[in-house]
Amino acid sequence: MTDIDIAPRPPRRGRDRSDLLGPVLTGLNALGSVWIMGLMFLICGDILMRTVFNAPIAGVAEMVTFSIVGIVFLQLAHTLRAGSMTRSDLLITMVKRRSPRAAGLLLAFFSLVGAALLIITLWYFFPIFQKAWTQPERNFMGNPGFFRIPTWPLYGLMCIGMAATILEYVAQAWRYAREGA
Amino acid sequence: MGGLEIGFGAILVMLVLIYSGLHVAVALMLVSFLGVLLMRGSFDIAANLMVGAFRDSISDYMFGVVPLFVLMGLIVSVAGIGRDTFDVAQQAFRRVLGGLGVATVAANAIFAAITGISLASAAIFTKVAVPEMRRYGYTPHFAVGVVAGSSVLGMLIPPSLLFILYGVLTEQSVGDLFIAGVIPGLLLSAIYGIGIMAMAKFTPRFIGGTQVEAVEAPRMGVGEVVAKLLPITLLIVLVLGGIYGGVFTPTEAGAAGAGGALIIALVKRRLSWRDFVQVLVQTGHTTASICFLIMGATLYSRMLAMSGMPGWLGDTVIGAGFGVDGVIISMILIMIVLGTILDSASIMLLVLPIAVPILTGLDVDLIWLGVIAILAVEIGLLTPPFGLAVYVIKSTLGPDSDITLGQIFKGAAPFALMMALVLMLVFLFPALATALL
Repeated sequence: MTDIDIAPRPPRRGRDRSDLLGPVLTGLNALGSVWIMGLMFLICGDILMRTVFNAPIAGVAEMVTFSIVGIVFLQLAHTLRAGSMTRSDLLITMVKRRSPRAAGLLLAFFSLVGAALLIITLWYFFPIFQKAWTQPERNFMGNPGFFRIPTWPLYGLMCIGMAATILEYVAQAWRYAREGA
Repeated sequence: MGGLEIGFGAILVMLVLIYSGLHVAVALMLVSFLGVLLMRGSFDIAANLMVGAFRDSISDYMFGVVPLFVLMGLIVSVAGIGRDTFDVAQQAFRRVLGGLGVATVAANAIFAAITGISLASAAIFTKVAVPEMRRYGYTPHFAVGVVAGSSVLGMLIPPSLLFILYGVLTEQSVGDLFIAGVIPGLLLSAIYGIGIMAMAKFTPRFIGGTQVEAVEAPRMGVGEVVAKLLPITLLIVLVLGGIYGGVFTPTEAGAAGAGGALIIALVKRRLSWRDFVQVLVQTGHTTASICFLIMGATLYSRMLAMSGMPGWLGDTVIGAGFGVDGVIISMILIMIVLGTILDSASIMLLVLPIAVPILTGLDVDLIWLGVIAILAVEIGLLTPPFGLAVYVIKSTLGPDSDITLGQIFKGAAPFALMMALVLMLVFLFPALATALL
């Protein structure tokens, strides 16, 4: 029995065969979802270990920090596609009633703005990832000698997440411009 | 152009962009990026500042709290714990005037102690309580008004996503904020309850309903009541007890609560695989959209700091003899007005980076201010034209329902007024927020 239907939007199925992006975003989303569960088990495990066996798991704080950033960037593009990114749709609804075409063009423009900002960010972020990749001994989270995680896998995920979001923004712009809002 | 003009101009442009429907996070980033570009005249500086916001604004142990509390809230939502609580409350208040209304408030207050999202409560109780109230002859606008009004408790009674957000933005302890929300939350529930009984007595036409609902429904035995209340009690003890007793950090409490909720849902056999997948996807979406907003807000507050605008505004306001109270009242009014076009999280992200530096300089208790801010923001959830809670209720009712948006706003109006009353009380008596700390 369910109290609420938490998926009000029908899934977009069988749109067209050129939708190669969809499965990729779903995959990233699934990975992020599994990661959320992992995060929960990690922290619960730490609580159990430390209260029952007096043996806390090392580096939980670092792993949580690492995880939250990873989860967000894995989910970002799928969130965008599902329409769950916060926006005020007051004006757009009004414009849409008059002219779906105009509303579509406005939304397409907005999507391109989002894409442009992320392209700039990715462009300037990528060198940071490269540095973390080539010098893992200098780029890590945590304390040397106690617990550390290299940052390159995280930065890599961030790059992938940003790239996927850029692609989704561009795809959205295309859809809005062609089909209206 | 100086920093000040750019600071003020940025806010104006941003409000226009947000109103036009640009994603709020993107609007924050775009305007901040352009603002820095204008002030410093360097594309590299502006771009690197943006990269900085992406890289470090959510990279903190504390943010682990976001997905965990969202996950917990969604699991208890699909596990039918809201309905169980309502069933018990319905029986407890069956002899009271306006009993079903009071029961809805009580169930919401209890349910709020394990969920941190108003909109989840609004959706659940629309499905559970509204049909029941209408069956007993309550007017449609009252039935939905109660649900809209009491869903606000979800944000005030800990755990609460808005308190988490506020704590993150102002660098206050999330645990302290949670505790500060307890008394105002209970006070608001009590005032709602009294208000409903008063309305039932003095304006019976507004709420409708039969005098005493009693008898019809089969009474539950003690065993059944215990079975229905035990899970939620355990979760409340685990989460709030853990934080209050200092056993858990808020992040750990979130993980323990989500784990506990999962076990309860599995034991009660109320979590299908399909629901579970939906819960996880939804958790991811909520987490990502909130954290993306936080990245935008971080960049925006760094841009504002660079422009020197909040400092100047603070000096001017104090120079004009406004005083602390004046500043806080202006903040409250601005938040309520913004509530007509924006959701609560976005309002806090827009207003706090300006208000908090000013108020910190005036030695304002930021924990108390948090309670004030959240009450102000949540009043906006109930007021037209935007009133997000109201739209959630409308969409949960479905297209076949005869209840109009206007009716929902009308029914919610008395509750918005009662919230304003509580806001005033907390403003006048700060101890209401700080007594338990």
